[in-house]
Amino acid sequence: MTSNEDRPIISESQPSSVVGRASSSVIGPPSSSVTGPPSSSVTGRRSSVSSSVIDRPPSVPSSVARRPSSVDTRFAQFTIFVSSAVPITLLGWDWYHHRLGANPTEFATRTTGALTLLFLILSLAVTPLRKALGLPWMIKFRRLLGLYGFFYGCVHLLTYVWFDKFFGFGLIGEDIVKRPFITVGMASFVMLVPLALTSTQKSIKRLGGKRWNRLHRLVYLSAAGGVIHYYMLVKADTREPILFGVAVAMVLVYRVLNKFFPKWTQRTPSRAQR
Amino acid sequence: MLIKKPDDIKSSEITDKELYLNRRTFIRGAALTGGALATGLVYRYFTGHGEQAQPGEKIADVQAPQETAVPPLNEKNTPYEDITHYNNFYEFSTDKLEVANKARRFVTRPWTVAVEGLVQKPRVFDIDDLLKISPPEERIYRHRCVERWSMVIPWVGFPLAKLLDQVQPLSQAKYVAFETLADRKQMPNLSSDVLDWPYIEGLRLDEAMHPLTILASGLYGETLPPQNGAPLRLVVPWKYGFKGIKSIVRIKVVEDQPPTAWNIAGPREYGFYSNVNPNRDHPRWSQKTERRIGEFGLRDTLMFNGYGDQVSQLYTGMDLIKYF
Repeated sequence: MTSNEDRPIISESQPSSVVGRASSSVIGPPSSSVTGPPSSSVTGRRSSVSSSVIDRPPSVPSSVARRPSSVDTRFAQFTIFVSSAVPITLLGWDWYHHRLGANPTEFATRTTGALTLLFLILSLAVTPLRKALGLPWMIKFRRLLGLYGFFYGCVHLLTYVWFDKFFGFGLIGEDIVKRPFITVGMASFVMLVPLALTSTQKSIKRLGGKRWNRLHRLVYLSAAGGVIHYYMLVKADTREPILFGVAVAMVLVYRVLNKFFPKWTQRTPSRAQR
Repeated sequence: MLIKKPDDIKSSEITDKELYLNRRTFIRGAALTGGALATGLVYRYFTGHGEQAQPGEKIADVQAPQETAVPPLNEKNTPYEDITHYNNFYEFSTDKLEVANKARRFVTRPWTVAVEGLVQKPRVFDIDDLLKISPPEERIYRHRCVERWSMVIPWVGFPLAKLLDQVQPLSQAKYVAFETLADRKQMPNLSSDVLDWPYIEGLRLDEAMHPLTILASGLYGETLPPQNGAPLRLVVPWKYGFKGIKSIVRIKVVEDQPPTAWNIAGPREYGFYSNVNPNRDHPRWSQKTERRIGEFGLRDTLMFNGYGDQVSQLYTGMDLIKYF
């Protein structure tokens, strides 16, 4: 991953100075320069501004949290990538060995649905955690977790389209129109599609940080919709959907608080964490 | 004069590069394995099911159905394992895969069933006396859950009518109400308020007297395991499964239509009658098809679960969409 992955975060405040700020990563150990195949334009700038950046006083609280990290997170990202694939692997393994109970299709649908919500919530928890703990490099996990959320959402949808409807698109259409919990679930999924499609570096560049950020706020709606979809589905025991709801509410409420009281909600990262 | 040499760390103290890289590789390998393992354990914790339940005891002298009215079924019986490990019994858990485990220590002896209300001879039966009222019969019925899955279950039981004959309902009696045990010590999920406890169900008297309606005490020739409603449950094969109230402690003959647990929980979704009806959708899903447990594809759901010939006359002239 390249360090300019953080652009949309930076540009939340100052879209114009994106490259300049991104280059501040030279403060960190030299290893940061190998955190991925950096685009040539960025590396070129980096060397030219490096001396002035080093001269800058170390802590500028408001901008610090937005500064891209110099912590090498590639291995952590790889660990998350592998770990996140474990649930689907075990699900497949258990299915193959007939260990999903009497109704494997129902089990697969339920489980992938819960995993979708879980990963959306995890991806939404990155920003609160990174700001509250003062660990800006955590941003590197956000896209990965979000894409896993989309991936599990796709599998969840497939289990419904296949095992429940056997690709009967007329029936699916009828469900979408007649059954609100399907309508809500489908809408929540559809909202994720443009987010997954614009998850690349290129898209961020093309859209510009500000617009990209605005678009990706759709994920708040999608996660909330996912919880409502789950809540509407259960027959009587609403405890689990409510738990997911509380989690989504927490990560969203943090964002509101952070907007108005950043002094309370943010911690300045130490030099080592930048 | 002391001139420090630039390399005052002895060369012997410098970690060998290869060793350093090895250690790094080792730590990374451990972290990767740990991450994947931890995720796997968390996944297992949330999706796993507990211990196996204990099997039942053999029931002696199970007979073929006495009633000629019981239609033969040319469908494969659902495996015992599936019938006993995929249960809706909310007193224990709302997770169908978890009920068998949560119910495994459920005590069914001593047990009494009070039969009361508008009857000539109200009586509190000891369960073993009650089971002697009529010889046990094997009744192989389709079982259709309102959740769109179905099974074929070889029950052991006898017609509810035989019990009601013993207590003799009075002439003003029109309905029969049933009640499940609600024992907080044995039923962990009673502490939740997912339903109004105790679980209650009801039938119209003519439905209760119908020869297909049975009180079951066993399946596959053995006593019922707790998760299937031991020691005594109701089976009404043309209605959705939740009408088959489990672990019955009270049967009351009444004049007015009694309240029922699921109707209280969701009056729009679960009616008093709850006859299997492919033409009356559940508000959240179609009831036209069902998944037979053990099959990948879907089957068409049959009116009255395929028992129309036997029971449709009970509902002549009734709007079954309105009275769902």
